[in-house]
Amino acid sequence: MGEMIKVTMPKWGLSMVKGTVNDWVVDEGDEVEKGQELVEIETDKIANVLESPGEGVLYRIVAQPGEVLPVSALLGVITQGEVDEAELESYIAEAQAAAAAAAADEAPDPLTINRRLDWEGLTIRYLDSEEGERPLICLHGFGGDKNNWQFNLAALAPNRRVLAPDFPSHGDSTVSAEHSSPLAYAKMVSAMIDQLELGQVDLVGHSMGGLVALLVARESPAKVGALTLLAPAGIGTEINAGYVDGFATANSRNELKALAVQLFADKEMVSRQMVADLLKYKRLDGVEGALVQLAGTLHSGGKQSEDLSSVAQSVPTKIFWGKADEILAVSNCAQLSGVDVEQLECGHMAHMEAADVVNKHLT
Amino acid sequence: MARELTFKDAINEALAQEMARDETVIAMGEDNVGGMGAEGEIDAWGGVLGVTKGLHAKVGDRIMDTPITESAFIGAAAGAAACGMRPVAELMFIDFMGVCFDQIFNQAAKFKYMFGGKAETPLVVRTMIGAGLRAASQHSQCLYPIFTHIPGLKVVIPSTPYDAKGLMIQSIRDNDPVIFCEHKSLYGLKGEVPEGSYAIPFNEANVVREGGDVTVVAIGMMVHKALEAATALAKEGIQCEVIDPRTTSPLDLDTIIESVENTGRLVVVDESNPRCSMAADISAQVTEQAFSSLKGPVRMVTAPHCPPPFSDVLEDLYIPSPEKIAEAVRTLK
Repeated sequence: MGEMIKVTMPKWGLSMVKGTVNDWVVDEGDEVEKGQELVEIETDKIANVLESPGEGVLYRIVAQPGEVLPVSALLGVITQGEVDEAELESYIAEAQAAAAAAAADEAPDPLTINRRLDWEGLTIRYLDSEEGERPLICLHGFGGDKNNWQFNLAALAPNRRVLAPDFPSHGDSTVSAEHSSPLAYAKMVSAMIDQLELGQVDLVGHSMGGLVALLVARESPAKVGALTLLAPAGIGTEINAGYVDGFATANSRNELKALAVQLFADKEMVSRQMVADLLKYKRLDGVEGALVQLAGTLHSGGKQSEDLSSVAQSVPTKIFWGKADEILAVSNCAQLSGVDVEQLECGHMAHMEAADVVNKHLT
Repeated sequence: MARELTFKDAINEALAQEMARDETVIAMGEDNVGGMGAEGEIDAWGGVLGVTKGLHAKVGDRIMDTPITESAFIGAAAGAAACGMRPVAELMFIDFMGVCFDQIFNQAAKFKYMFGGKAETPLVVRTMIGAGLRAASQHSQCLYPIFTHIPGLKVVIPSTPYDAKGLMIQSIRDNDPVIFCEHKSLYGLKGEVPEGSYAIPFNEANVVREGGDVTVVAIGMMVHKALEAATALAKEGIQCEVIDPRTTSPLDLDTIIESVENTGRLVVVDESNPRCSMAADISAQVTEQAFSSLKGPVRMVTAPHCPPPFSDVLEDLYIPSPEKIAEAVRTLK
């Protein structure tokens, strides 16, 4: 067995922590000289060509164009003389493990990683703090996404594991009208619990996410510990159907702004950026069709389609509800007995408008 | 957290996604594949600055290299569009458009009108605009006002990677001929771009920055210069509202006038030469339709009325700068 030389991600400048692999200038199997140009590497400051650390044959390209890798990650292997495939494989595995261990020392905040899992052929994107006991899954509302929990996840993560998915047709998950109903979303959550081997979880659901949480508790009671519901659908029958249908079809900044202000007691919370982000989401191919269909599963004839109050009564449940909620009125829980309901001085977005109260309960 | 792409890659992704979605979408141009037919050279180049690089591997011969015959392949693309295809033809530099004016002005733009509305021409002509690359006056002009002048054409000038992808997708899906202008100095600009397909409707200006003192309308690369000027002016207590029309035909005049009704002051920034420019056009339309809202004259910040110079020093002076924009804004306060 001859010599093996590692080609690794260079560190160009003090601030470089990662680089993007662009095109390889040489092919697998090519002979290379020391100092010969091998592969184009791009950082946020500079694009340059990495030179060969030695001479031999570029026997294996490990990093493919487009990959973003940390400094010192293995990009390829140059060999001299005879090559034993098995030895090469273990050499690559060792080098990658060493680079991963080095990178782990400077691991990014796990909540900044846009993770993915596959469910029924769709890509589901989610956030996960990874560490901690008592996993809590946060379920967003109609037209929302995992970033709606921006004031909650980081606050809760030191005390317990938190996860937040984008439902199908929401956020960064695959758009699929076929998979857009509260029941389908409940199945997705149940599959997520299984795939990530979370065991029993607590659920916090906002608005439609509350309805999804109730459905998970009904369909898979063994997987659910406690429920926290924020202005949930599925309790009572009143709903602002005009908002739901309007949001599904709105296609301009002005239309969306007029709708978004209904979410908050303090209308100033609706920023330009929030409306711009909503518009970007609404314009993704297929989103409007999926939301129109989803809206149809949430209400009919101006009333909510399903009342799951009995589920809330059978599982440990805490409900927060804003007194100024214009989407799902707080009067929806007037008839609900045996469940702890706390009314707050806010609108529909308790997890944003009254984050401290909600976080304290969830800690 | 969201994924970032360069302006160039955003256009490439729009083409790849639309070509995957709809097999009537085809692409052609000089070196679009890059050495097609030459051994070992397949998919090598991808246009002058590599915008279509890698597409041949994804869509095969639905992307084609053409001879250096703009009049022939732009005409062919217009004809293909009238016969049910959705061609995206790249005409390297807008400066070269002169050799195929007839195909664009008299054929593609007129089909719908000449044939009683029965013919549709879903043609996209991609082309590079703008100065700053030391490429002299036949490769550096901003000639979009000429195309804006022609009824039947739509003219698109994106300023961000997000807009570039969404407007390219809309251009391909649109049933009229579109001149899609890519400022070459923007190709390396990075920004958040969703992975999925999305279309940004034409005739929708983007309010890039809100402010109550002066409305600054800026196009293409000039949006970034205007934003720089706005940041500097904010420190002096002047709040600019920066508006990017994104399409000059159709032009979303409503958004501009709505802003002027609030600020009473307008500066239009355009990298084109001043005579018959977008700056002149927007200035005239606002003056005619919202005269009573204006508290002062409309200011135009444009290139001077001369070809883009080859001298580095002169070219830098030729392009409207944030300083010149700020200066124009200050004259109104």
